[in-house]
Amino acid sequence: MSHHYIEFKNVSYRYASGTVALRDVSFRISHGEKVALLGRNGAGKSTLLQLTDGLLLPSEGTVDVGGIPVTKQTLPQIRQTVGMVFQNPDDQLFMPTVEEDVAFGPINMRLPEEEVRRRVDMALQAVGCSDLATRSPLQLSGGQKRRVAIATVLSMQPSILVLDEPTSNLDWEARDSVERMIGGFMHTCLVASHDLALVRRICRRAIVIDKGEIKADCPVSDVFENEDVMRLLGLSKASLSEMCVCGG
Amino acid sequence: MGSKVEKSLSILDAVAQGGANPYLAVDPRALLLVTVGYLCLMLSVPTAHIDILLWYALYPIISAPLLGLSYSSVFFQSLIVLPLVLLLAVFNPILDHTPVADFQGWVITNGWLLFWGVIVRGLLSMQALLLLIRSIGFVGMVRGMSRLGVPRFLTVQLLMVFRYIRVLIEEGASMKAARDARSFGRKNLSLKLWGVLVGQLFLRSVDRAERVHRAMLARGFHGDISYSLSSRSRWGWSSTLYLVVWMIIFVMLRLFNLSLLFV
Repeated sequence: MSHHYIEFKNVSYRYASGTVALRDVSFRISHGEKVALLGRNGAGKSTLLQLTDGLLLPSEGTVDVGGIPVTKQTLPQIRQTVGMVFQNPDDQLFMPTVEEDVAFGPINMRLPEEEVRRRVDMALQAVGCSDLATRSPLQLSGGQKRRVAIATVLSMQPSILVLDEPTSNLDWEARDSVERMIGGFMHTCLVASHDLALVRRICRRAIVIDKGEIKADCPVSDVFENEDVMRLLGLSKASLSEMCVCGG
Repeated sequence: MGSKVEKSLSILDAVAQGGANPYLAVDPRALLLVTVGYLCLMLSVPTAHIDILLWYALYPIISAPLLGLSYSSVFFQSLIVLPLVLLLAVFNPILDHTPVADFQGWVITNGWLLFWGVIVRGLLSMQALLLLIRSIGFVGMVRGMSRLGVPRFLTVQLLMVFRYIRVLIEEGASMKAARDARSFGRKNLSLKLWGVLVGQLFLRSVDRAERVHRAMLARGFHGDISYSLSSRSRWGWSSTLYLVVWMIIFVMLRLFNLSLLFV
């Protein structure tokens, strides 16, 4: 039985301010699935993603990643299993050079130096940024930063990849590049995105969240054909045509 | 982003990385030890003994080209500390009129000796630090400190503080740009607005720092930053020679006043 799954059971999360970000959310993502997490701004997508990686712990319910419940004690194992790419790459890049940023995760995994180097080279190659290894992340373009940010997670060789708006603020070429990378990831993937073209091309299933609750859990095609689902996302057939969301 | 901000950021990046092309490959640890030894011995010279202090200028003058730097640029950059040093030194000649020497009718007081002593010490200290930072960069310096056994919590804090200076500058610049876009050419800020902006800058920086911390946690951070992938220089013969030769020179200068040879 595969261990690359994510399971939420009756999960609720309330912030310290009292805001209830998630209410009684339950779903299971199986091994190898690429699932889109869709919803309007403030729907609870980022909160859900952070619960997956143990950056937040549920107020109620349980989160299970590959058979390991997400608790304070299991965080080291969870973070080896789940790789999270944040919405803003500037938040993710904090070391003096690109290669040190990419090595940060494997070093924290206490891997031997040769293995760290090997993973860094592989990750940078996978995102096409090998020539940026000795550069300061602060000097990179937006697209380069995004690719390097993905490399910082790929170097940990996670079994589950969680991405928060991976194509936001990217030009078309950078967007294509990121899409190819995500599409090439062989394991379980959960992507929160407003980029419906990306969603349509790489995901088969969509979880639609609104005001902290799951309103739909359906094939991606339903998002573009089911008016109830489209209404949840604030979409209409006309707006979809304007966005030129093409089949992929 | 304005040109002043970009200039500040590029200076910060240059400080972070260093990047001189040294004639002599010196391990950052050796450079750190030499700098610390230099500062300790030079600053232990009694302030009024300019005749001994001036000999310590040999270190930056000789080391600068060895480390791939121009001494004149180091000297001119060290002048940045002059206003502060002048402020510290200026009261000596005013308060201390004890005569110590007579030079062709000019009475030299102890106050003036102290004045120039403070100036020379300040400039030499700054030059030594500039040699260190410009040759190996702030990041290299912190790595050297870590490899010398300085506690990790200190070195990590230093790196993070340096990293967040940039965050502060960027956040401040974006706030300024947003304010300029809606100020219709007005340049002066009211005190109340200053207070609001500074408070917001603090909050935004804390918010950004928290997001970065979460990203670090997501990649397994547990309070310790290791450098197994640092461009790890090896301690070679040149580093040993550099350290030993300079430490001997500094000690000899401290013990023997070479100026007496010329009297």
